[in-house]
Amino acid sequence: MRMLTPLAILVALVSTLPAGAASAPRERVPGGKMEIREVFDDVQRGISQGNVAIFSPHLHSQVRVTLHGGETGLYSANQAYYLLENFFRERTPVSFKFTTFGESDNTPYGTGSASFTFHGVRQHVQVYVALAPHGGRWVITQINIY
Amino acid sequence: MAGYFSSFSAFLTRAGIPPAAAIVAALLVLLGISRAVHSVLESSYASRWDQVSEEQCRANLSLAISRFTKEQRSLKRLVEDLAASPELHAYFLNKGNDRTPLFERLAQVSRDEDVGIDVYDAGGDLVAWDGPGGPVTRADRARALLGHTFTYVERTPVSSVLMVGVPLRTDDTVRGIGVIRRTIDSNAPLNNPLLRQEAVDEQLSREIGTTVEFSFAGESETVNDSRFLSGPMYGLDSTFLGTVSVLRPVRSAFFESLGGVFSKIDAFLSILLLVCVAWALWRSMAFLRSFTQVALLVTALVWIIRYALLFLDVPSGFLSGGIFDPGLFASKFGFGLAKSIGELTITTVAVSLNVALVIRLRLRRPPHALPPARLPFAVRVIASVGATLILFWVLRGYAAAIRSGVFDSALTYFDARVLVPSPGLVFMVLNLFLLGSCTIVAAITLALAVVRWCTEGERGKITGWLMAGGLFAVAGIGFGMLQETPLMSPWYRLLFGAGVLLAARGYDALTVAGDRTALRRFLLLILAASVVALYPLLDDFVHEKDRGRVEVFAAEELKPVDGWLKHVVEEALQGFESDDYRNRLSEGDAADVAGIAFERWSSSLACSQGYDAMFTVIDPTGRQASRFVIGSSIAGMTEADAAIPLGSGQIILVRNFGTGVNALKVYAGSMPILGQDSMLLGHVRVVVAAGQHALFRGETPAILRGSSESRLESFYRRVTLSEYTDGVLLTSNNPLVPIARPLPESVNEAFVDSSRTSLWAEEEIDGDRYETYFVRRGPAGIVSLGLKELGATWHIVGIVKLAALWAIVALLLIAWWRIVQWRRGIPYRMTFRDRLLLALLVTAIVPLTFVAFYARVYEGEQQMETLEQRLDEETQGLIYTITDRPEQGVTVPAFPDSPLKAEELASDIGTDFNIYTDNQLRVSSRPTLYDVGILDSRLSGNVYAKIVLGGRRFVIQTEKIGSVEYSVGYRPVLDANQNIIGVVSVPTLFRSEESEEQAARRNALLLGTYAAVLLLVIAIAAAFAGRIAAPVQRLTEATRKVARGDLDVHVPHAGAEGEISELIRAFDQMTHDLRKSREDLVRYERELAWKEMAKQVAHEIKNPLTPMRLSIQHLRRTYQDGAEHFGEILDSVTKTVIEQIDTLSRIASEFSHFARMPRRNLDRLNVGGVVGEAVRLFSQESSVVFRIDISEGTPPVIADREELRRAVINIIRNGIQAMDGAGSIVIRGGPEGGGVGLSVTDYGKGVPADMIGKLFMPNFSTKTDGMGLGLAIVKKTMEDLHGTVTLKSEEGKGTTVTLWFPASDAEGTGAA
Repeated sequence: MRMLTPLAILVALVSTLPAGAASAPRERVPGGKMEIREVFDDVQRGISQGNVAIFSPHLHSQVRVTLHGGETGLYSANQAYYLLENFFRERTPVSFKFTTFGESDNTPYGTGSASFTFHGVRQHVQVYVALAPHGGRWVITQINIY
Repeated sequence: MAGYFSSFSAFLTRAGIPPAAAIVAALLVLLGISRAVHSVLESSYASRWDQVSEEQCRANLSLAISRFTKEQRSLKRLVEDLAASPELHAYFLNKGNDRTPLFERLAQVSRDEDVGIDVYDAGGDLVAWDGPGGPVTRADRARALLGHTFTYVERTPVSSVLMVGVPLRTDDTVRGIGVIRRTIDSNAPLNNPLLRQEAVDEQLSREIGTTVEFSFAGESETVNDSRFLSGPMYGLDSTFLGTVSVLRPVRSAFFESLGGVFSKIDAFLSILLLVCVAWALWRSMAFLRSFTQVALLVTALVWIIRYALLFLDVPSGFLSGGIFDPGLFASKFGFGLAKSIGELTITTVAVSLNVALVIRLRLRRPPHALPPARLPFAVRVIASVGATLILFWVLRGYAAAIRSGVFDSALTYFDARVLVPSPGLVFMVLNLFLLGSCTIVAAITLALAVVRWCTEGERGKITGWLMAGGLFAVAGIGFGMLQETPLMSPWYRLLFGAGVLLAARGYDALTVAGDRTALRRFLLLILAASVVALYPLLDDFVHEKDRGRVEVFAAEELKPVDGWLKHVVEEALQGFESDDYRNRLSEGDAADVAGIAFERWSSSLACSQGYDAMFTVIDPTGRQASRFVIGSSIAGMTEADAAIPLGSGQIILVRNFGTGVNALKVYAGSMPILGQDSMLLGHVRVVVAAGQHALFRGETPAILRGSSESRLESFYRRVTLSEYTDGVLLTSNNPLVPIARPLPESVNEAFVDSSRTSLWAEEEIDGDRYETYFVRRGPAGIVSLGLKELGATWHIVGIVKLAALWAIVALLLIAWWRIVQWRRGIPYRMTFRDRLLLALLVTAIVPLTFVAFYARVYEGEQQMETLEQRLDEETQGLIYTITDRPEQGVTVPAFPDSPLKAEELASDIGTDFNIYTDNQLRVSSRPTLYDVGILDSRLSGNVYAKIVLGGRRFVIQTEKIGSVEYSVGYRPVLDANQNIIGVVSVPTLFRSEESEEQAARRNALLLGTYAAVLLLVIAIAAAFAGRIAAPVQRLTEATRKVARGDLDVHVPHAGAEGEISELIRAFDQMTHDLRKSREDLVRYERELAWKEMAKQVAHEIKNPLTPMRLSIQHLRRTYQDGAEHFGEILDSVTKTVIEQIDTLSRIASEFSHFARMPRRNLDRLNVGGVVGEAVRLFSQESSVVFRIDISEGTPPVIADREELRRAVINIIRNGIQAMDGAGSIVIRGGPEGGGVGLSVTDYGKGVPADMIGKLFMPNFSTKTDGMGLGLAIVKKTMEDLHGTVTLKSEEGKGTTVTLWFPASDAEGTGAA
């Protein structure tokens, strides 16, 4: 009989779980232009400093990535992180600024020109970043540095 | 090298320096030297940077020029070799003969050397050719015929071609000219299979490590850029051909590169240092006694090394491509432990090594050590629940790893089109397998712990297993509730838990039985179980990812694309604003400007993403200077192109064509190109078109895209895209979907709810099951994206591929293990069953392999025949179409006179085609690749030889561009008089996707069938081998028992037939006879023993009886004599008599011991334990010091505890007596010669050499008070245990008695 105690404890533990599950946060509607602007600001800072970590929290689970002289395709956020990290490891950012912002049917995007130093040679590329609402926030669904 | 090392090692030993410390010190010194050299070089280069830069740049330039010259010489040598060929001799010396052999020879040279080659005769006429070519000027031909070599470079929009003309001589007479061509420079950054061939400048850039550029446009185009150093390049005839420019070393990049080299050296030395330190720590672990401490230290060491590698960026810092490419796979797990497949592989090896080392440590632990202290009840309860939760947490970690392997990767796991998987896929799958094996091992360990904690004594074992089962069941169901995303179904968890419990039970039973072979098989079973555990999760996650991607595509499908396509156009326009294009436009060289449109397209996003596109360059007069068009939406793009005005700034225009899934969005943009002083150099127009179902991926064939990563976009299942309006099908890209098909009823009902935007549902199309994602578009529109459900064959193919991979690796691991065992002197002995199984498998698989191979060859031939037949019919159909009907009175073929008409015709007949007249391309339905020079517009030489010279009516040949191979069918076009007026060709270049689809089906079918047959063969062979070998195995086992002395064996006849049955009967008869003989022998020996014993007893008893008799007689005499000191004499005599009686008693006792044959109680004994018990009996011997050294890994021995203890006591007692009761006794034990050795050493008097041989004989003793039976008893005991006893002694120094016991698993219980 004594050995039934572990079972009883486990059952008691499991019985508390639905309460925990019920307390999961409800998905909220993402905020407006301020939040969108914050994401673009992070992207601008990240690209300007060559630091993916600044904007990687905003990456969607599936991101379409196109990189100058590199990969192109649909990647997971983790892959996109390392692809961009490798991209910036070889290139030292000189400048980047979004010059155009657009929005159509809940899909904001921003474009701009960036300059990098690659093996001592300066490169100019066009940047395109698109966002979409997901999980109650704005996430990056497409990033092109080409 | 080994000699030097040995000398060095010896030197260190002499010097008293530990080698490990010396190596660590040496590595530290090397690290210091590396830093110092780096610093010195850096400051040295920095102080004379200009000189260093200039010297290096000039060296690079010189290398580039010499390489270019070498290239010309190699081409010239090829032509000279051709001049010496018999085909050329035969043709020139006997002109007018068949040129076919010459064409064949040229085809071979062209194919082998990747060149184009033309042969002209002495009149300057082209007589044979192969590969890409072009016209040679009359002047050059005349010059060559006069015996001069000429060289020049020809430019095409995509490349520069080096051309070398060499006179062809026979007998020192110039008979003709050989002109050879090879691409040396790529003008387009297009990175697709068509241009994968590396040009000379690219090779040079890679070799030198800096940018090398060739310029062949004339002297005036010498690169006028201070960043480059340029030099002239001359042909073999000293003609100036152009310039080569080498990028000067950039200071920052140079020092960065220098630093990179030294950081790699530092990383390498640091790793060596780390390994040395780890090794030293490992060696010094002997001081740790507790298993937990050692296991923790091992784990810490493994992971410190792993993270050190990560910190030093080794090997990712050295290797960036292949399996270290994050584009293939990357996960953020463990701070970079899995940032690529390569890193994941190292992590997996670390996990496996960690598990293997801990298991090894555990197995080496003495099995009969005292059981751990019983934990308090409450602690056991908490530990049981905790371990169960940890088990499922580990399982979740495994599932998470598989999920990451699917979602964080670009690998296609179940692509039937691929028979031989890529290295990335191989490594990834093996990693998952290894992680699975480790998970199973960890789970079994936890399960055993839970069972132990749940067990109350021996009788509660069953309850313990039941309790553990209950815990697992509850946790298996409940664990998912703890997770927001449990990653696996409760069924999977329950089955896994049940499987782990069963495995743990099996392991427990096997360890109790001590069957090592079974344990090894158990390990193999775990490896096999990792396949079983992996597949369902992998299949689930792949399926989930497929669905996820379909949902992403659906979102893209419905998302407005203004921003993206506009960006694509803007990027294309802005790319025209480079100095290079401005310079070329301002110079106005028409031929040069004509290539600009293609060049810009090839480096644009539009090309990279595969969009239909139209790039146009217009000069200041409004005339079109350059244009490149690609794709099937030409009409829409032309309309948009015409509509876009040319203004003073950038203009973007959007046009929409069609509706629904056929809707086409066209973005057009224009921009002026301004030179210096804002002078107008021209305008550029860019048009990009995308269908609704290709918004983020173009529609042009994959081989025409700028990206080589087209696989990332591909599904191994084709997506059926359909659009419904008001519940009825409007359009679909799958022709099998019936027109006006109604929306499935269940879907229609679901969308009645206006808040619903999408749903997954199953549907049936033309007899096939589809899982389809339906998305609402607008108030009445529904778009569906369907994936065809995979049939059983696909799953079989998937499983077989995974299993085959694992089997190969398992075989390699087994082979490695066998080699290790062999090096340890343990050869592998195959059982009869193994041999039989191997023979059966070889007999079955070898012919099966042949059949499979020839079936595949036959299948390939069949496919080729089908293709040939198809191309034959298509070329015939094409000629039939372009030839007016005879009944209409016109029989002259009418060739299309423009690419547009050719495209229309191709659309009508359903195939692309080319038409050649006068050996040159006249018209093509796909002119793009000819326009830009990727495809040669001249008729293939081989085809000319076969059709025009050989009169063949149809020719099929394989052609190649870059790395793409494809088939082309050729057919002559004849006029009414049967004269050849042209040749039509139908290429399969643009049908690669269709071919891949066919290959997938074929692979799935073939592989599935052969896999099923193979599995059946293995199962049947295993069953037959088992059945045939079973009686032999029984016989073998019985023989072993007989060898151990057990003659009461009987071999069952079941399953034995023929000779085997006879053998068993003969064996039974033999054992029966042996039994009888042994009984007789035993009886005889017993009688003999009794006689010996009686004689010995009589002899022994007689000895004390004589002094007793003499003493009694003496007493009697003194009494009769009335002796004065009778009392003293009485006392003395009685003392003597008592002593002799004691002697008699001891004799009786020792004989009793020797003769007694108690029933042995054999058991697996820990030698250390028995020695301890024996030594404790001598604790009162305060003058004796015992030193006991029993190795920790000493295996148990099989013996009777009491008997063994008595033997050890006898030896120890002898030792103490030899030392006169004072001194040291050293007892050592450990594994020895495949068994266990135990030695007892005393430092007493020792035994004379001539007596050593007699010591084990009964009745021999060097002592005055012993019977000489102690060592005889020891010998008898060891002989009964199939062991040995040996004695070494040196007089005055001491004696060592060594017992050797056979290994417990080899001995079994036969010693009873």
